[in-house]
Amino acid sequence: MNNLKKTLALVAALAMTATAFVGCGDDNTSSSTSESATEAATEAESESESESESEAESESESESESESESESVSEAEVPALGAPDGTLSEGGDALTILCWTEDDLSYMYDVVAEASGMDKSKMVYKNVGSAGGEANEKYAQVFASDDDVDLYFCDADWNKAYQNNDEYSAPLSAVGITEDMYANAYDYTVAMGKDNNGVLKGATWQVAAGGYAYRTDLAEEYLGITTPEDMQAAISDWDAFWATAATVSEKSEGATAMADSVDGVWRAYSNGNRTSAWVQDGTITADNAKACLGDFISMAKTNYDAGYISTASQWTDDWLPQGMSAGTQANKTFGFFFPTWSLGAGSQLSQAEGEEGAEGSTYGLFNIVAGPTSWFWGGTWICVSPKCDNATEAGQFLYYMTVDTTSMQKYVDAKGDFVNNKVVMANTIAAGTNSNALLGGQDQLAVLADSAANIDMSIATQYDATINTELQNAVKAYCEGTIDSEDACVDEFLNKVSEALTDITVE
Amino acid sequence: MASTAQSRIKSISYAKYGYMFIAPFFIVYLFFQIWPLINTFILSFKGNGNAASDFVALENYQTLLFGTGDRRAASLHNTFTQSFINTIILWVGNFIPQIFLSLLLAVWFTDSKLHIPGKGAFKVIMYLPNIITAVSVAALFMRFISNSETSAMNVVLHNMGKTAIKFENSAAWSRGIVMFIQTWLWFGNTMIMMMSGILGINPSLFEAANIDGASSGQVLRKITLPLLRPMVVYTLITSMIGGLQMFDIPFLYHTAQGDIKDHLRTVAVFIYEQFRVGNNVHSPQYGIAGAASIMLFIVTAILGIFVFRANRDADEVRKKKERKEMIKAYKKEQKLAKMGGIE
Repeated sequence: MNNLKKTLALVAALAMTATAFVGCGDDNTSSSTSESATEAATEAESESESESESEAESESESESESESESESVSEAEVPALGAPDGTLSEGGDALTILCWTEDDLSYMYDVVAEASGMDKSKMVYKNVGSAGGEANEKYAQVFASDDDVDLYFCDADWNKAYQNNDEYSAPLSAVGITEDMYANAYDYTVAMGKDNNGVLKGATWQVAAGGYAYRTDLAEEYLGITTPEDMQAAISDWDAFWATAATVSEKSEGATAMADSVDGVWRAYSNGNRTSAWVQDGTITADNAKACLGDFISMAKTNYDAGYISTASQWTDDWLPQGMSAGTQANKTFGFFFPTWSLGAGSQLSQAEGEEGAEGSTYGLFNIVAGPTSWFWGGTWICVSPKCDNATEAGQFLYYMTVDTTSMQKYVDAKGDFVNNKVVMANTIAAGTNSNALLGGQDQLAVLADSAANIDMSIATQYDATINTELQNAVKAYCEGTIDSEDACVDEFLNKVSEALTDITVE
Repeated sequence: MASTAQSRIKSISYAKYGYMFIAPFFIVYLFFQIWPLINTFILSFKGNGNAASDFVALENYQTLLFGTGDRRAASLHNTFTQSFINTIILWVGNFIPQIFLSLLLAVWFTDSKLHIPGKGAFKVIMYLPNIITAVSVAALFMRFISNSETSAMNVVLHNMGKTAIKFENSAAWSRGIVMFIQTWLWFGNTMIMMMSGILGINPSLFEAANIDGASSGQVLRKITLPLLRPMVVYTLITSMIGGLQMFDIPFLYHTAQGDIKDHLRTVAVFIYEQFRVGNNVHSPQYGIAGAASIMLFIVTAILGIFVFRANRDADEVRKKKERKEMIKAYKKEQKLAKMGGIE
């Protein structure tokens, strides 16, 4: 009896201790066995789907092939997937991919499984379930623990930080991927995938070329412009852009601004007109900062004060409703600076238009043009973890998602994404199969193809995310009048950057 | 001689089961409370970012207090100083209206002559804001009055034909709003404390005052307030500790991403920003964050002791001293008596 009591007390005490430590576990959702069971259930469906797809594809392929002959883009020979170099281990349970959203991944699995013959149940993901800088922090936690990670997704804002750290990233050659495989890829995606020593450490399936999406009804009313070609001619560079802004503002009696936010103008300017890297030799000098900024601050201030740039901030509740024709934000902007990933169903453009048929909805009234500069915004790179234990499978995934023409074509046809393969994009554009209902049936891929080819991102550094945020805040403060002068604005910006970045010097 | 049964009973100690049951708490406390506290001290003497494991002695403190050196040191020093000023302004600005409001309400609700109907309902309603989490409250006020042009106040201005106001950009507006939110959140709680304090006063004192014909103002000044002092001191100290660590509302009250305004950044927000530098997760500034935490701790401790000493009951202290002296004198006498008796 006494022993029973003692045992009970001990068990109770242990249980309490155990529950106290339960909170230490990770809260990542991952595709566990239960999910793979449902996957197996849906596999039967997807099989029947893929059959019908492959039929449709064989048709479209034969079409596009015949047309691509007349196109100038020639398909470069791409070597087959090589064998892993043996620095990473093999034979892990499953190919685990760390990500912050699984929307794209589920279809990627289909594509890769079909192309490589890999078992789909061998591919699992680990979703940290938060976006932006927060996802970055969650990644740090996952890497600090000993959880299995083979591949991981990296946002353009912070992928350099991972690539420059050997603790977090292995070269792609370790899984059999070499640089010459990317002969058909857009150059900037390869440049962004390299670390500071020029080693290829990341690859992407998408190209996030940016454009300017404008309201066709307002263009006709204020400018008498009816075609995207005329619109592009009216805003072909920044001077033309602001001259048109003056007309729009005048005709609308100051109600409509040309640009959606200071942040949007900076994104386009930063990735389109800046010619110097922010950090050189671990320093931001005053002269270099001036060179990087160019005339941006005075341009922003002048046009903000004139009402050519809207007062809204990106990612706030004020931002997207400006695209609608009713409500407090009605018609506040003539157009938005959007990248390719903002143009799909459910993304920023569809939020800016509002639901079809709703009050003030501008559904299908937008068109896209390249805008005053070629720029890009974001994008996701796939990197290999040094702890990868499925080198062969990781190589296959990368190869079929970022190199192989056939499987990438399949992805475009299903998703309408701008993929990182010039041949695939040329074929898709030539075939004219892509039409975006949000843009009134316009094919955004055709419009942005030239911009995508012109993007130069050799000047990206791993500190750009922080620098962009601090600059946008400082310039907005100057525009809104809380900072008095341009010099004070630059000073405030450099102060904040110096506080946030420990391992570089700000002069 | 004791029987075997007796000796066995003697050896059974139930205390050990008690220790067993409280052990889990102390184990967890040791790991999750004591060790982090000690570690904060250690971290404050170490470097930042990539140099996080280097011992730098008092460099972090030097940076924050004097800001001599490069742009980074000067900038950190300015931000830290400003955040200290902000904290004090925000705390004083919410404590004074809060204590007045809750004292007034507590006196009214406990006054037997007033007979306010539905006291219970009032108490619950006034306490309610305290139950809502700060995040929800911040979200609520962001929709009501903020930089956003779709916030209620700006929509009203818009409909009146006026231009929208960026409320967060103005130091007066934004601080005023944060002070208001803090007061609104906490006055119910303070009121309940004050009421319990007043109810603890002997009712016969109030009765006697009534019979003697004292006015309610006199009762308040001569009876309620002096006897309520321990409760006011307690509220002051707890509010001060909480106020110096004010974090959630100032941290959440901003529209654009990561755009915490310089006139709202409190010390706690500063610390949080330093150890969790957003996009720069691979080089967190634990050293600066640790040093700032320690300085906040020292300031809180000093202020706490100061307030406590300044508000001690002077009579009580004097009496205690006298008693001590009397005991001393008595003991001296006893000693003398033991030794021989006469001095």
